Amino acid sequence: MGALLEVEDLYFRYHDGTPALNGISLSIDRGEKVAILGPNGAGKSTLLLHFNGIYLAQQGKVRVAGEEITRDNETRLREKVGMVFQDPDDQVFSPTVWDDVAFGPLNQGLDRKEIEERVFQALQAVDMWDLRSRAPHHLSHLSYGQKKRVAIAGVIAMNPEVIVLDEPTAFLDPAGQESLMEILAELYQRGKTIIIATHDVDMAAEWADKVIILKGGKILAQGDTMLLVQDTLVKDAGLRFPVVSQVFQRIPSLVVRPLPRTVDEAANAIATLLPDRKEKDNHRIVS
Amino acid sequence: MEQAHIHLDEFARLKSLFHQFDPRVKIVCCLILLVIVVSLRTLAGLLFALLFTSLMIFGSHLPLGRILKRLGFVVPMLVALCLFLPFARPGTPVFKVPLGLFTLTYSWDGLQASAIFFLRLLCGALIVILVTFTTPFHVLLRSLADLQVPLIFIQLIQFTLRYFFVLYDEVIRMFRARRARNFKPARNFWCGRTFSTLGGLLGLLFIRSYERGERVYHAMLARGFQGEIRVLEQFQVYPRDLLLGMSLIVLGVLSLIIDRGGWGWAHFLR
Ligand SMILES: Nc1ncnc2c1ncn2[C@@H]1O[C@H](COP(=O)(O)OP(=O)(O)OP(=O)(O)O)[C@@H](O)[C@H]1O
Ligand SMILES: [Mg+2]
Repeated sequence: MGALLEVEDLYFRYHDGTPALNGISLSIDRGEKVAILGPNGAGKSTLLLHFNGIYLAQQGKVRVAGEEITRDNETRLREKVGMVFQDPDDQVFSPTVWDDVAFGPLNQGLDRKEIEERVFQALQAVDMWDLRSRAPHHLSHLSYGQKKRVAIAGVIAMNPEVIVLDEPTAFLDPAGQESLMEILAELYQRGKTIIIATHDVDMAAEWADKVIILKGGKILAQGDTMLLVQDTLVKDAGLRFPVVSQVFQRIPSLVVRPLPRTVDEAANAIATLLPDRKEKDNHRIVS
Repeated sequence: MEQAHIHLDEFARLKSLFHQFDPRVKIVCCLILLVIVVSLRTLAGLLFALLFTSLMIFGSHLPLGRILKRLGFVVPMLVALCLFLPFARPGTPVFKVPLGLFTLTYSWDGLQASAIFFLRLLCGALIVILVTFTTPFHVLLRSLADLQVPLIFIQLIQFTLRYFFVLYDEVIRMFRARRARNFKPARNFWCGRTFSTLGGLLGLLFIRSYERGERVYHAMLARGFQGEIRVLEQFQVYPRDLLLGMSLIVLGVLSLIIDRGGWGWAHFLR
């Protein structure tokens, strides 16, 4: 079975002449959790917009489930790839939350019962069912995090195979980020392939199976989260180490290789370094 | 300005005869009614029209307070009409204002003409309110499409409205940002600084809303929007819709007959 999403030597230039993508090739398998990282203006958003045919390749190819995206099949392929935009105000517009989530399924031409079921499921999944008759479009009606969840529900309701999110954690409070991660975990459980563009290195390190690092419209590197602790690469891409990795880096005598990248890895590494008795003492001091 | 919010379909989901009225029949009948009402020429005909449009509004369970508020825009119109039109029309004088070189005459005929003009406006507004307040916006658009209104017009309406909210939010944000840096708006509109700031604001607003408009459109495309307006509601024209529609038109025709002096009404009033 081929990759679910394939990009082959993709170039894209905006009409004002800005070359946003300069030869991107990548492939993403079914059920992968992919984080795309890179500095501002690296081309992340532009690349994501190619994934569901909002922009068509000017040169090169983008294939979804083996099928190249063209003018003729873009609508059908858009049902496979759902896109959550960075700013929920761009996405959410109907008179009520319920109507907004129904917008996608309606465009898919589903029947009424199916639509109602989908909207119910999607709003349940993001925990917004109780607010279904609120008006989403205006500053005072829903909080930013709530709007974001409505935007995600609007995509879940279309039941796509791939869900693409542009900077999903930006501007969310810690609780909001937490609940977003839960939603993503839930979607992953249901077998969705999830692609996010983000600046949040810690989140990428915790969450992703695969990271793609972009700069100047080119791929600097792609691979697993080990990439996030490669000195030159990280510096090159204007990123930083995950916080937990930084802790280990600060103490030269603490030679742990590979550098831990997630909280769990760090906790394990520390636990193995501690002699048994000392660990217990520590606990006593803390409590 | 901060708290003001605009809720589109606020009353569109109430229950009443007019809410349940098939939107397409409703639109067509009310359009016919509108044409009739604005072509009425006499006070008698217009008063009759006002009577039945008001009754229709009552029957639609819309909150009267909000409707009156919405009608607020006709008040300055009324004042202006009563103030100026009677001076412009020759006819039986009510009073005269001597102005040295010439005399202004406030004419009875002019006053009557303003009343007619005003009533037309009022009835027309009531009919439009009736349709727009009792029909959810997307249903209205869908019905227009069903009635063969070219898609391009419908999309124009749809996006104008969509972008209106976008623009509105953008303006609020921009003013807020400016206020945060202690800009004092419009103590005197013609003060140079206010003026140039306003100009800059407008330019920025245009660029920002253009960019945002594009993103909004992309987001719609991403969810499978293909230019067609789809709604959940299944429309069907029942005999009761036709009956209601017919009675509206009969009322309109009745007002027209009264207006044109049929059945000796005119003599009766004179
Ligand atoms: N609509 C547009 N018209 C012209 N140029 C654009 C447009 N959108 C983006 N660009 C340019 O294309 C390049 C890539 O932009 P893109 O938005 O894809 O970057 P990004 O990685 O998403 O950045 P960020 O992290 O700031 O969101 C940038 O140089 C940007 O200035
Ligand atoms: Mg971006």
